Amino acid sequence: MVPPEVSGQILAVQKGDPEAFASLVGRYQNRLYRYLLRWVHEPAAAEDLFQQTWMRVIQRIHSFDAKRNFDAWLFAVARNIAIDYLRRRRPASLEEPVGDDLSVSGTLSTGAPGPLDQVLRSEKIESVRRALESQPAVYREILSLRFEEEMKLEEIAEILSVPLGTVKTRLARALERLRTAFLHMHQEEVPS
Amino acid sequence: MSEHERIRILLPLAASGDLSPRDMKRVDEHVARCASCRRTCEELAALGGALRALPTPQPPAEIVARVCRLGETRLGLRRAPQNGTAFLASLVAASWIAALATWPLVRSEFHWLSEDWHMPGGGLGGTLAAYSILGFVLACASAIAVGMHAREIGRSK
Repeated sequence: MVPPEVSGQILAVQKGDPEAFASLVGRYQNRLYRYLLRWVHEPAAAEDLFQQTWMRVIQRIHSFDAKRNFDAWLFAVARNIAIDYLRRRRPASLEEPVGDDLSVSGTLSTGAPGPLDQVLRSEKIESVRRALESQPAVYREILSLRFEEEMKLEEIAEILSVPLGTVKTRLARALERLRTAFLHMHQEEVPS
Repeated sequence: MSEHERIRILLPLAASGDLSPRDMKRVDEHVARCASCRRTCEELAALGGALRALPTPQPPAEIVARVCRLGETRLGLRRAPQNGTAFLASLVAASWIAALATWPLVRSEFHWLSEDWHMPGGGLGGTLAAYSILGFVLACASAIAVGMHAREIGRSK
């Protein structure tokens, strides 16, 4: 559900209140920018898409039903803009890798404390960020929505316009791929 | 597919907390006796935690300020035509009402109109209709002129 203060801001923006619009931008600016940055990597492009998203919001907010989930609606608007951008720039980056096996790779696991434990415990979050950035856009997106935005799978399904089952499969693949990428990356960094 | 393989497929969603209670129970029971799955589950959960802990990048303040400025302009422009339409419609209505209200005065001052001006409808009724239509047309013309002027001002902003 949309918090009452957000509903009020949305209604005010629908009536053309610029202060309510500024409040809405302020409330969502960090989350929206982070989501767009996960899509496009480059800050300059993310800034451009951030601006485009809000202009699209102004164009379409009069048709938004304030009882609906504004977060999902806003992120869906941003998603469409990011996809349009990537289609023009790098069409291949939008494809979900085919032939990804859902079975979890156990080849890198051993009985002893693994590199992942050690790295995470030593707070090398930067490595996780790099592993995330090495993933295809569709996986970066779903990981960002689930873990950074803390969205429920149903909300993610609404943003992506896909069935819940697809969200589950994609999330499972994304998380497993991230783990594999992280382990590989760390094995290359640490001489055995 | 063995139970071990079936459970391994569930591990990412177990780590993200997205399994049904029934599946979660299956995973818990398996993980309690399978060291490999337990380790993988812990790693996936740790990754989830690390993703949650990633620093949140912030958009530059000037971009946010620009978005707010653009929003203010666009919301103002969008609101203006709506207000303008209501204003122009009320201008036309007011002019027409004024034309009808002034009819007794026109009739008393220009009574020769009804005698000399032979309208197709004939007589006083025809003259009243003509006077009213004239008032309406003039009001519409004024409203269009005002509207065009307002639009020009909006474009130049």
